[in-house]
Amino acid sequence: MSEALVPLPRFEEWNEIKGQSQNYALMKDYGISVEKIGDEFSFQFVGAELIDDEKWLALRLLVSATLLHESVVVDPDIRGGVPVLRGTRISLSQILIEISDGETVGGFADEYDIDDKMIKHFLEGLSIHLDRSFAK
Amino acid sequence: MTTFQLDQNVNRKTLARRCFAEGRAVAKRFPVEWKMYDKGFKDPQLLPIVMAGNRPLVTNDRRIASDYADIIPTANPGIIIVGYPLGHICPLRRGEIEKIIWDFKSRFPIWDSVTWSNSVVEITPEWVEVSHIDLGILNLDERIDYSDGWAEKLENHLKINANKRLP
Repeated sequence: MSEALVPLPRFEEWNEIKGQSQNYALMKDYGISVEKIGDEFSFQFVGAELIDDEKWLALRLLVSATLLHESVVVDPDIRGGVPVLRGTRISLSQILIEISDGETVGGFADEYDIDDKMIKHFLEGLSIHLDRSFAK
Repeated sequence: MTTFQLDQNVNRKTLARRCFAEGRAVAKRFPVEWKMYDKGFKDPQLLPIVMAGNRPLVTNDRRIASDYADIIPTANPGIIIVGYPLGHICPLRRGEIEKIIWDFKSRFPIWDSVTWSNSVVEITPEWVEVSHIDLGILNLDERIDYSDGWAEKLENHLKINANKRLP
C-alpha cells in the first residue's frame, strides 16, 4: 500500500509513531493508525493492503471523525451546548460565518488570541466529512 | 472609569483596541488563565468569578443569564449581551459585534457613566432588553425599541436595578 493511493489530510508532518503518546489505533483493519502527538496528528500506514472505495470512504470518515472529535466540544455548560471550538467559548457557527465573510483562519485566530491549529483541524475534518456522496 | 470584562466569544483584539483608543472605558480581554481548560471555560466556572467582581460581563451568549440565573447572584456587576433579535437567521458576522456596540454607544452616550450593576441588558440593532435577577430567577423589566424616550427608559431601569435593596 503506497501513501499516494489515499489522499490524507494536509497535516504538517507525517510523523513516525512515537512511543509514549496516545495511540488511537482505529484503523488496524486497514493497516492505518491515527495518533495524536502533542497538537499534531499522525496517520501512518503499517503494511496496509490495497483498499477499495468502501474502505477508502471508511478511512476518510474515520479521519474526519477523529479531527472533529479533537477540535469540537459539545457541553451543556459551555454556551448552553452550542458546538464550540475545543478549549474555547467560541462557537463553530461564529468561526464559519466570519470565514464566509472574508476572514482568514489566521486572522480569526489572531483577532481572538487562539491557536489556529484547532480551527484548521475543525475545517479539515468538516471538509473530509463532506467529501462524499450524500445521495446514495 | 468602568472596566468591562469581555467573554471569549467577543474577545476581539480590534474591539479592545478601539475601546482603549476611545479612552472612556476599559475592555478587559479574556484572561489567559481562563484558556487553560481542555474543553473550554464553562459557564458555571466563568460566572461565579465574574459576577463576584465589579466588571460587567460583555458576551454574545444570549442564553447565559437565563440558563444560569440560579448561580448569578442578585447583586452582580451586570451582564451585557450583544446580539441580534430573534428571527435573524445568520450568526453575527465579522465586525458586527463592534458595530452593534458602537451604534448603541452613539445612541446612548451616557453608557460609560451609568451603572450596569444588577442588570442584564441585551443589545440588538432593533431594541434593548433590560432584565434583572432576583433570587435565581431572571425577570424581564422591559424591551425598549429605539423610539422617542428610549434612552430615558433604559437609564431609569438601570438606576432602579442598581438601587434595588439587595438581600
